[in-house]
Amino acid sequence: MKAQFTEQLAHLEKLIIEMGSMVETQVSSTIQALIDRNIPLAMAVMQNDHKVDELEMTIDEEVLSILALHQPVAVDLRDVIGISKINGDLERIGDHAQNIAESVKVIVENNQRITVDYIPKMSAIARSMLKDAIDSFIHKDVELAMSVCKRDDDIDDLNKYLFADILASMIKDPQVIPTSMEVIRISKNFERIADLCTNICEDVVFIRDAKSIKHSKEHQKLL
Amino acid sequence: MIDKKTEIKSEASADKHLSKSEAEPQNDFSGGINLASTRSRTKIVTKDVNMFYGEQQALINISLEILQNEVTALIGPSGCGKSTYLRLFNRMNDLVDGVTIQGQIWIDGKDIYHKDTDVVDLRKKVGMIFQKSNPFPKSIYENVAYGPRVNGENSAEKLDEIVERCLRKAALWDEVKDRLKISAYSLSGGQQQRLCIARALAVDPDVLLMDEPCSALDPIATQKIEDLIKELKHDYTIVIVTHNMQQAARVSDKTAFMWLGKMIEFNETKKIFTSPDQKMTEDYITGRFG
Repeated sequence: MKAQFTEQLAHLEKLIIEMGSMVETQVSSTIQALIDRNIPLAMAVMQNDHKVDELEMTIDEEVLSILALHQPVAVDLRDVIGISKINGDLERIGDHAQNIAESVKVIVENNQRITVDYIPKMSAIARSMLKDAIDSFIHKDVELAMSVCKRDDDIDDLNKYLFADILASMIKDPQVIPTSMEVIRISKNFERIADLCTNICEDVVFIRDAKSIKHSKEHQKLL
Repeated sequence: MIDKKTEIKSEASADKHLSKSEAEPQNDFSGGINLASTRSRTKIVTKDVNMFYGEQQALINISLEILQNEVTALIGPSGCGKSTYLRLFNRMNDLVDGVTIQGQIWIDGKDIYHKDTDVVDLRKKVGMIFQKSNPFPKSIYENVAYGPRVNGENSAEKLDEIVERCLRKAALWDEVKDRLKISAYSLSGGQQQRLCIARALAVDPDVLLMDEPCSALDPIATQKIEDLIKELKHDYTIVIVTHNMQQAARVSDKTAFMWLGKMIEFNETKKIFTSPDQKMTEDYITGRFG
């Protein structure tokens, strides 16, 4: 029975890593589409989102099956619950990558230009946070997970600065409003990706150390 | 040489009973539980308990505090000393040849191994339910009435009241009220086990010891006993030995994990089954050993 559980848990971990890899590719592709103003690549991201959704459902079923058949406890329970939550977070990250791809399509089709330099910085931070969040899960590396949480503040700040700058430019020249709205949307999506990476890392801390650092001063203390 | 004669060594002084406040040991197994806030609810205390079968040590330095109206589960692999430890609470180990007990055990602040302790009274106060149901070869009614009758209760009216009350408490009354005079052996295994619980309740105990009470029962009968345990804890203090970890997780407030005669960890059940402090506990409950 234990061997069967170990095998099923290993399979679940393999699936969630596959999910992480798929979502990472979606985020990288959407960033590349943004940089290259590449509509076919943006379209590919939009079309591939259903694969992320399907894998999410497969993982949900696997989690349900493990809970029903094996009733895991302690670290095994934390592992399964953590994976279930990470699964949901990764699926949402996939949705945000799709949202960005949609904005890229609108911007390129309307021959608009993004002039603010916050977006490249935010995309770089979001991409690195996602990579490290997935790595921290694979290696159960709490230090790496905590460093990801720390970077969330940087992206929050950039989102705020971007909004202030864009608002000023929209007041100055209402013609930039359509492009600015897409830029705000892109910025908000990167900011949400970073938030979800933070959630994943909080789950890694929960899995390894049985500590919940969400919504607590503990979070700040550990940083 | 193995001493064939049962030898009980109580380290509590023979000339005094400890008061309740004196009976509070330094407990190394508080598991982060604020013992100070639970003192008034302390029911059973064991301190530095060692037990030997001849020269073989079965329990090693066990200290534990069990609270009133709680269910405490003892878990651990076969031979770890769970049942041996449980049987100390109503001195059933006294019946085994060559047993030596050291350390102190108090129930309600009284040293139960004191030379003046009346073991018959102790066993009235601390009832036991075994793995296999063991009704007497008598009617359902007589099984429950037996204890009070032996204790001198002869009033038919009073006995009727006790039988009904105990069968109700054991969640059996509705199933047997119309056939109280038939043999207890005609009941199903699960019903027989609940009858044994009713029989234990009839002598008005404070503590119920349960040694794998569901191991011979099907899932439905097991669920009934588990529901019953949840109900009974409002009136009794329950200590249960179980090999079924899901059962320990479902029914108990606190769980003690034992291994090779030692108490490895004692903590809130929720804590034990989500994030135990000891690696060994985690390895056992996740099936990595044992």
